[in-house]
Amino acid sequence: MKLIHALLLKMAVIAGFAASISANQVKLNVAMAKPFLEAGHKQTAFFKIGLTGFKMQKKEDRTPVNVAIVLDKSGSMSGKKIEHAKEAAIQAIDRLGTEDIVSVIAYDHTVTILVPATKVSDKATIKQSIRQIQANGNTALFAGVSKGAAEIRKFHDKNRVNRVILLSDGKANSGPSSPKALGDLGASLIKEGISVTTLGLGEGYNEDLMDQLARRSDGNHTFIENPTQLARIFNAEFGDILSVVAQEVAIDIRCANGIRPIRVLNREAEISGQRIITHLNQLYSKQEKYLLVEVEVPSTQSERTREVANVEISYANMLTRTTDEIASTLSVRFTESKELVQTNTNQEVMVSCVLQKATDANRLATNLRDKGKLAEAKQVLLDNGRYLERNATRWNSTQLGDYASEQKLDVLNLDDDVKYNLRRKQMRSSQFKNELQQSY
Amino acid sequence: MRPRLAIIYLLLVLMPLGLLAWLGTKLAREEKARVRDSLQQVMQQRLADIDGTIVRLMEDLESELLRATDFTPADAPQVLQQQVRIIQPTYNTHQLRTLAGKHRFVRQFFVIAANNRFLHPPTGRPEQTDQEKRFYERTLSVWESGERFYESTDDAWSTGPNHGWHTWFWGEGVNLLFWKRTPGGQTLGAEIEVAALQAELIARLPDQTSHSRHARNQDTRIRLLDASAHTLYQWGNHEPVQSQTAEAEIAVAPPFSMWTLQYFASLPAGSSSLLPINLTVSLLALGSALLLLALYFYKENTRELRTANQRVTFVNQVSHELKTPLTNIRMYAEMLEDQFPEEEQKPRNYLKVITDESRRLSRLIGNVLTFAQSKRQELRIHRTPSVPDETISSTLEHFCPALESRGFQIHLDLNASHSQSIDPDLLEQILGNLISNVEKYAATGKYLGITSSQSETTLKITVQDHGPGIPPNQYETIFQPFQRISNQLSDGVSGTGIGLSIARDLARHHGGDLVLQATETGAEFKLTICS
Repeated sequence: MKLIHALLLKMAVIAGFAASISANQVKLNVAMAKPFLEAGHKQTAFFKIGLTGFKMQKKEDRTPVNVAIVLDKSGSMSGKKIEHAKEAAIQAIDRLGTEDIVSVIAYDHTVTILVPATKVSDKATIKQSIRQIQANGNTALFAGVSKGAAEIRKFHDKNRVNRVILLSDGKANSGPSSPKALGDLGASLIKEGISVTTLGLGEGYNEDLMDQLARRSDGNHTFIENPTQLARIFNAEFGDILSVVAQEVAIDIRCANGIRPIRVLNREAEISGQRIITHLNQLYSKQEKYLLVEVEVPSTQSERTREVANVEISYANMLTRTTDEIASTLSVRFTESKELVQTNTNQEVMVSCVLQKATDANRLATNLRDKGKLAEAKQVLLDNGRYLERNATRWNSTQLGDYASEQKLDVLNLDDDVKYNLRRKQMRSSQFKNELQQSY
Repeated sequence: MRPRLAIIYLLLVLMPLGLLAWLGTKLAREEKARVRDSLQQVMQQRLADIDGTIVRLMEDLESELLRATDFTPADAPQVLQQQVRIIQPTYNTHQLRTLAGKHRFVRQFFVIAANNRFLHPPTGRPEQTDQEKRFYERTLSVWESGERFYESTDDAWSTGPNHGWHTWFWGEGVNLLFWKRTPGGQTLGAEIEVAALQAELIARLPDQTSHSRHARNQDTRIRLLDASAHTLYQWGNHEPVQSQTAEAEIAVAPPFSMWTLQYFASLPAGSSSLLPINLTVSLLALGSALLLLALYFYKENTRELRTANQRVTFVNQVSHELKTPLTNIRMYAEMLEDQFPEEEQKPRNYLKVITDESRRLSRLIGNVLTFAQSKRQELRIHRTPSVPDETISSTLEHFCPALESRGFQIHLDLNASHSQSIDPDLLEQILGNLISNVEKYAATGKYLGITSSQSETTLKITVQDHGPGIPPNQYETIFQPFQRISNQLSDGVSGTGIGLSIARDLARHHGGDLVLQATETGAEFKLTICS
């Protein structure tokens, strides 16, 4: 009887998917971590909403982009850093086509618009302008991003990928310079569909600021330890930008009666009563972005199926230029068999859950270390490493295994202030990557 | 004599130069102040223009927000509006949230009912989101202060009949609310995303490239500072040093009145020097020209003086050379006169004329020599005991024939018959000059009166005539050398013009004086001599 029910449920889920799977449609994957829950008591449960961008069939189908490359040319960038940055930007220009728009902004404590927003038809001139950059002065990061966004606005178009790529190696020390101020700026930019990717170079930048700016504008963020990596990172970032298939992705989750939403683990979302609302600025081709939601499920009788949530997604399809909607309903089955609960776990969702919890723990460790609670931070990381290792084996996940090794490296770099300063950037970068499923 | 002249010439050069320098400096200073003033005005104007950008941004935002908060249903019939008085705006929480999610300058919309209850966000109700909770916490101070937005206060002010702005401090700095009153007494508003507003402001302000396109803007730097004097944004090619203070500064218009705009510029150096270069150069040129001119006149003058001196010396030497033959002529004439018998009147008369004329000539030469001596400060006095009246009589005796021939009536009142220690030659020279003047200039009066009196130490003599007299304004000038009341030779009188000058010099040298006394008729000279 139980088995039949389980089968029925699985079929229902698959049927729900079938409708939304199409060549030029975003794939919506909604699943409980545990499709079977123990009956008879109140408990929390996790579910995942995964969105995967469809594959771009032809290269010429790609969405034209509107990119502002904002380069730090403050004094600390002088030497190898600025040369590599220039080279990376020049290589990135080569990947753009005549339909794309690019602008190049360089800032120290003042801002210079080297290339005002322009179609990428005369690459030689653009590259020449980039080559002129010389490092000098302070870091007016806020102003640089503001001007970058202003350049994008000149050709603002919902049918383009609007992106500011910010490279900085220093602390913002001219103009607004707190993580909150830059986060607020990011939050306002995403309302216009502009994401900011923040690339932190070397040991001098403020990773919290860069994290906030990228997170709240749904861009990417990464730590670049060595300037020689710049070309690769720029390449990866442009790989992302040039593969955007959907934008203005609105996620509207309505929890069923009796189900109480507790939190979204890995993204900012607004919870209002039974409703959870969030949105992504874009989906990239063949990349999955997901949301992990924790809910409280009331005590339910065995053998009953309870609807958990109804998920509605709407997005701008960049290929068809239409606003598409997909929806799915999620249910959970209650049973008295603990075995059934254990054996029916969704491996993929479980891995995501472990990763998000471990990322949370990692963030806690950085907070503790920041407050000088070194021993506690170490303990958290050691526990976290063990937790990840255990689950890596259990779920056969290399991703969890890799993150377990990172925890060990984190512990090793915790004592020394100089080492920690650098490591903290790596930790923030990893946290960001894990939470927001960044591709590189 | 010479150093004094040099000083005069130096003064002639220095005084106009100094005056010019003073005037020039004053002028240059005024000019500089004027330039500074106009520069200051230009800078203030430029800052005001930039402030205008901020004002326009706020105006744009305001009209945008007025549109965004216009929730009156579009299909509400106009006529009904008048009949029913008020149509309550329709909105719901979801709509306002979506709207805030799309408006980049708005962090949160809010609606407050006439009874001060929150209609949106759903404060204290389960559908309140975390973000809305945080909004309420942020703005708590605003609501707790019992703020009634439509009353203008320090923090709130109206920009229209029913709308305006409100500022308050929370977190990192100034925060901003837009509010609008509906006819139904509700307050609609929006919390502004200050970071987005700042970013938009920066986007509207110039960057380095657009800046350097205007050549006139080079070498300036404009800074926008926030309430805690931190730079929000700056542009311009001038790189002010740490210590440099702003050339101009203005406060930004509300709602950012705690922000300031500063203007830095690299003003031309040398603004501290007292004299501008061009003025210094022209002063130097003028100074050297004046100096050359002065030198030229000085040389001219000294050459003239030298020539004059040479002439005087020449006259002196000639006079000296004349003196000996003249003395011989007179001596032999007198001797001859003595040897002629009394009855040979004719030759004796001739000899008399010769002796008189040679005496006259001697006096003239004596005058010239005395004048030269007095100029060289070489006058000597030879005091010997003598009776003044005798000297007077003997002097007068030489003039008697000439005076009598012109019909002069001579009146003497001599009371100095005691011997006194004076220089009789000197006295004779003085008297001779005075009597000779009477003979020459006062012939029309035909009167010569001489009085004398003496005391222990002083001798007083007056010489009076009834001639045309001397105008009072010339009482002093007649004693100047080469001064005569009339220079016209046609007056029929001759003379060297040094007689009175010498007479007074001699008198003064003798410790006395010679003055002209005011009288009703003619002239009266009063001579005093101290023994």
